[in-house]
Amino acid sequence: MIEDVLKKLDDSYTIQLSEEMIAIPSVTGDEEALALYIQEKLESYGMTSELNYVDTGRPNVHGVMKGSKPGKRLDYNAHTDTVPAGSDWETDPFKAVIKEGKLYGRGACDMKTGIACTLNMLKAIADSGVDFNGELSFSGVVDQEATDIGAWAMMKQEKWRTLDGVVLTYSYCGDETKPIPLGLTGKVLYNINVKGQAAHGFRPHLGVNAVEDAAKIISNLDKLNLKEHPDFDTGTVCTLKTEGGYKKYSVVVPESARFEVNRLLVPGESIQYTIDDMKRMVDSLELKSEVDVGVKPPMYEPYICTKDESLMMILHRAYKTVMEKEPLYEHAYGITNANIFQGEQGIPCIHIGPQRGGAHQPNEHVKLEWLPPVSEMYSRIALAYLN
Amino acid sequence: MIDLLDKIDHDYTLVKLEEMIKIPSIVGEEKELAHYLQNELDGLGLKTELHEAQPGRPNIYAKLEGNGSGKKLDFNGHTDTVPVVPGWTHDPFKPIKEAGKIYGLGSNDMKGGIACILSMMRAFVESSHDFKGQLSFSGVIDEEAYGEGAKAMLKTDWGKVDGMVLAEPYSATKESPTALGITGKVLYDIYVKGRAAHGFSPQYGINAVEQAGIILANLHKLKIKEHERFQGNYSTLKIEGGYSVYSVVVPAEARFEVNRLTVPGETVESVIEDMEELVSSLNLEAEVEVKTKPPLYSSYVMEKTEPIVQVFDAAFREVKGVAPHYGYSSSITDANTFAGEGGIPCIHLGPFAGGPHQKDEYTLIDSIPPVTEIFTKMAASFLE
Repeated sequence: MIEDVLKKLDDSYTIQLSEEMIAIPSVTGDEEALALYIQEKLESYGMTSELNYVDTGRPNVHGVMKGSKPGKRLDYNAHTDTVPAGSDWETDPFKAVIKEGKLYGRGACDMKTGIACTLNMLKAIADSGVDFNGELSFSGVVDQEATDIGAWAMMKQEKWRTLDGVVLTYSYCGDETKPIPLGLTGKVLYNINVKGQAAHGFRPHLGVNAVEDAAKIISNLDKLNLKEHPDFDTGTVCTLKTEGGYKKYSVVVPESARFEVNRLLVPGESIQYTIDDMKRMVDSLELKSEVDVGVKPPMYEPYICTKDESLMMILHRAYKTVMEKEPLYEHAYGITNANIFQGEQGIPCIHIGPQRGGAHQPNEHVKLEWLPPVSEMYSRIALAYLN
Repeated sequence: MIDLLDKIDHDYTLVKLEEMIKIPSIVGEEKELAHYLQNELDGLGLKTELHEAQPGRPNIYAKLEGNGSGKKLDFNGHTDTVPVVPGWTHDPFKPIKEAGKIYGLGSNDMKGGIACILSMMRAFVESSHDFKGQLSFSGVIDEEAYGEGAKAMLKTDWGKVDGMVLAEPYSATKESPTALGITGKVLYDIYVKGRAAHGFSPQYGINAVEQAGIILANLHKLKIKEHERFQGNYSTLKIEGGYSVYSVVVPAEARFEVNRLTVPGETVESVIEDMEELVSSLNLEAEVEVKTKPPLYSSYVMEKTEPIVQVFDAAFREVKGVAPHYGYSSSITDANTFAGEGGIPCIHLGPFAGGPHQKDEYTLIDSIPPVTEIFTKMAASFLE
């Protein structure tokens, strides 16, 4: 019966949808037009759809196809937003151009072709009339390129929080460019404010220099207690920004400074542990300044999964069948919505999608040869999981 | 000498001060006051000269030549004031006399001192007092910013003098001792260049902000030179580095500024070298460029045996009946240029400092006449 579905897959339809979606700009904050487009497609396959406004003009879009009998519920998840076009494009970023086997445009790989392959699969399943158990759904969430308010809002809804599995249609294509994640690091963005005391800059002993105290913390970041994980090794720490001192030149001991540090967490390090760890390290320095260890969104818990988890095993088999080789796996240093679905909510997640090209850069593209196998893998995974 | 002192007109001093307060001369806009001073000094019969220290920003110079060759003494004031700070309770450009005080922007810093110089010059002219050498006035721009007026003056013949009196609001009292020396100042401007990478994989980049942090955390290793009368120090004034629009990227660049007060024996070159040695001792991965930014000032120190100090000491005792107080200062003035770079012995004396750089700046009216008298005695004695 998978054969009935595969016969209905139409790779020219995938390309057509990709082109149409690239022509609908959906830079973060501006996702509504694309959501409406997707909703119309989902409705046309006979799915029950809904828009869920997370913010003004910013809806998540959902569609559900029910099987004939009760069963597990599998969701294909994508984010509808893209990063801004930026400059230095050789083509119009919002007009899909096919050249030498590649499709160019903003969102080509991140992640409008992932959405197109999913829609191709959903249409094929609908058109084939194939029977399955449970529920097959699609979710397109806003704001993944910023602070993920879409995915967080989705997990606030009972019906999505209770999904059995999620396929994230990101560009983890299982080769050396992006092995399949067996878990992802978490992330905390520390926002540290240092408050000293102003004084004339010629009399620094009468003040407390917030910039110099901030520097003492930054130069002691190696004293953070990064836990080791057998598969991930340790997380990473990276100062992203600092600012402190005068705006208009004046010789004054700076009374405030601020800096931000990105930290990736491995399983065993919770967000709370990570905040406490920074506070402990700062306290150990016995600075004269008052230090406020705060955090800024986005924050994510890490998660780990195993190859013998049922959805992961189904992915492995589908990949071998379609790609005629085994996928590569890794414990990945990165963040996706799976940090929210699996890291926060415990829903088993897998990632699979077309290989990326120039994501977040000018001349973003995808190789067309990746679209048919991805649609096929999506179909095989859905039917195997919902049998 | 008696005739000279008799010719001092303290009312004239106060009138000139009031007129000058009415002419705004916030740093950068000194031109109108320079023209006013030129007109006044021309009227007294002095030889005057305007000299554009910066485009549209003239220094004003004037001189009286004595009878026969001798030493040259210059009385100096800066013509600029700081900007109007918030909180003034009346018009800062309208002089108000009230309860023994005169209020107005520049009333002590330093139009009061300039008025005393004008008054002294007038007494010399009116009395036809006999002296040798040259008695001059210089009004320079930009003291409240980068000291460009003093630097420009030093390059001219007007800067080739044997002594200078800066009419800054130092009373030579215990509370406001006059300086026998001032620390110098260097503003380090340090660039750190690392290498960008994704912030999740910092091991592939070189974090410029973190490398800057290591330097800042080691500033205590700078070799601050010991001096029996001064204490050098450093203070970081500013840092910036990292993203403008949030992105998880290892910062490729950071920049920070450190103010350093220098003591006699330390030069701009020696303190740059000191910072470079510190940086190289840290074996950083980033490239670090140690530069300086204006303003730079040299330190100086004088002995009490300097002739200008001696004539000041005597004149002060005669007028005030007490000995002046001396100190070693860490507040930069144009003397850092004149004495620190030009090697000209300098004395600071002026009317009472009532809140310079603050709202409702004032000076005490009673503090003005003794300054004119001390200036007059100093000039007569130095140029005898």
